[in-house]
Amino acid sequence: MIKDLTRGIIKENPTFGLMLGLCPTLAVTTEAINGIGMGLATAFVLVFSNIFVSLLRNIIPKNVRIPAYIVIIATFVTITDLLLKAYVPALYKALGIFIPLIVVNCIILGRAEGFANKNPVLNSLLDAVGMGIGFTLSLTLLASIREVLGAGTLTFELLGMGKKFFLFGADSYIKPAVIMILPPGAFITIGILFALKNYFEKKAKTE
Amino acid sequence: MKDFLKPSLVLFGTGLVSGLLLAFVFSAAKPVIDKNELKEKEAARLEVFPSAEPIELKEHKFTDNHKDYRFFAVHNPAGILQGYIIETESAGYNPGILIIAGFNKEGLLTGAKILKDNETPGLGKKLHDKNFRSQFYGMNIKTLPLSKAEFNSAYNNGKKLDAISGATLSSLGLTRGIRETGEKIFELVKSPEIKK
Repeated sequence: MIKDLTRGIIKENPTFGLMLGLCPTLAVTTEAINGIGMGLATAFVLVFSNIFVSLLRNIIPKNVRIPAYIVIIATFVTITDLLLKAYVPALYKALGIFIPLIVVNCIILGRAEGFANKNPVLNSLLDAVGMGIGFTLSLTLLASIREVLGAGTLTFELLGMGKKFFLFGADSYIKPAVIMILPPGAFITIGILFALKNYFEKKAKTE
Repeated sequence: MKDFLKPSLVLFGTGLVSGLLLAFVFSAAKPVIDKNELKEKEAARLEVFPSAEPIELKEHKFTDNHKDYRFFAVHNPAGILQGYIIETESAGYNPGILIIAGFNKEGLLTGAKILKDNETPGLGKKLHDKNFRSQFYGMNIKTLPLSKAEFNSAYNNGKKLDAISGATLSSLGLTRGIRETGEKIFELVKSPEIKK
């Protein structure tokens, strides 16, 4: 059971292990806080979709499972969107654009299809929490690297809490490379991270 | 028959439950959302027109070239016109930047705020950065840059203007939106339909 929780964090990390959800990953990782926000919002939807897919796993016939899952996921995303907008407008402002993006995040459908529809509710819940943590961590890592290199800052500021770090002064001779927060920077960073992961995995295997 | 009926019923049921649930959540959330938006606009209006004395706003609406304009004439307690607050929608990299901006009766920008936008996070989203917007404060709205070339050669009080790096279009969305609507309003208030 514990394995269901820990699996998503490193070994089957959604981004670096399963290579799922790369589209939102590349799009939003421009500031560290965006990585955290997107990761947490995704985790929230993932938990509910996994619970309901698991609960209904014996009721939904195999041949219509995908449309049924999509409806379940879209429902929870829309509910999250509406509730945040109404009752926590400041958080909604910070996360606004990420929330509709969650519907098309293939991690959620991937876990519904790959895990929740074959396993009991508790295991599915743990799986969702683990995958959510793993996704949040990898997004934050990617976003921190890109923000430091591309903007020279590191933002952990949300709702007026937290802090924004300025790494180089305005008159420093080190100038950030804007390309790193533009789309090519995302591909370059994720490519290097994949390469490093493969290198260390291979090394660990041969030793 | 049976392997056709069950999937249909399950899908129908899922859709029905989801639809009802969403309708319920929406009807509960909608009034609160509307109230939040109204409150936010009111707060923004006070923010973009800082004034030592209390101000009174008079709303005006008009349509020109199939475009709706909405603005407020700002008066002091004695009833003397102080300036205008505009609400306008402009396009940056994506359409839909909702701007609230204030300027005094000479046309000098007193403040600007972005209420809604669809710009790219990390780039165009920096429109929300106060330091970016405040570089225009005190400028005559007729001198706000309309193009990239104008941006590069424009100064405010001897200080060079800086577009957001990597997001010139978003930066222009702000300046162009304020300038175009503002100029329109100055044209309009000269006409006899709206005095003061």
